Amino acid sequence: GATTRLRSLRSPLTLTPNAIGRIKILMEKQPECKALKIGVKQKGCSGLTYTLDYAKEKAKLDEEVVQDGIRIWIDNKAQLSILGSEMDFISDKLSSEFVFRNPNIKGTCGCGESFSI
Amino acid sequence: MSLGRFANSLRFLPSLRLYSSRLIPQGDLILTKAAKQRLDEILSPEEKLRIEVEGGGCAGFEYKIRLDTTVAPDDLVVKDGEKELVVVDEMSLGYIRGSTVDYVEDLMKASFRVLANPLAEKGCSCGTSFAMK
Repeated sequence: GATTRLRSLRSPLTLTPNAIGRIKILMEKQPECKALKIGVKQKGCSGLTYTLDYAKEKAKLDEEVVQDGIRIWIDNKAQLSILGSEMDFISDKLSSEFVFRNPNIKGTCGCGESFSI
Repeated sequence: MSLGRFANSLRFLPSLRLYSSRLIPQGDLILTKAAKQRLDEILSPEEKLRIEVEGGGCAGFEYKIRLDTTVAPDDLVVKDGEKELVVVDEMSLGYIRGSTVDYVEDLMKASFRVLANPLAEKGCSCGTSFAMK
């Protein structure tokens, strides 16, 4: 109904099936951790870059996203920039990485690792 | 010889090499254990890791890393036994001499990287772009 639709529209982050698959593998290696935490830090030529860490405890202002049994906590400082993003995992022989497709980003660095909003 | 048979014999030409590939002198390009291990996993018999240096990126020069199946006369290679693992053209080697090639893995990303380039000054934090000293 209307409420479910409203909720899904407000979800700050959606995960692609590839991202879900990769996170499941990662979390199996760390059974004592409850979630994957996304943060931001100042780095790169465009200002900000996302960080990923295993997390045991949810901080007070962390936003929680649960999708297909995967739990993600988004650090307070990352919430604004990540809002509406899609988290994907792409891999080939040479490299594999999580990418965030973010409709709010103004500029990115050529390396694709840092961004400005 | 029929045209068909002639064309068929040409098929093998790309794999013929009239010169033997030159080795990158020891110490000019160092492969970490992780890089070697990853190359063992991913390289098909004909494939090599090609490292190039190009102008571009936010610091002026950029490392380009890709898979390649050909070796040109001006290329130098790193071998493991008979297997050619890494190939670098002479010009690019001049910009990375003494560097280390590593396969770096963390939660966010796993990729091949050119590290500790003694000829490079500051770089972009992404690690693919650098400036010369």
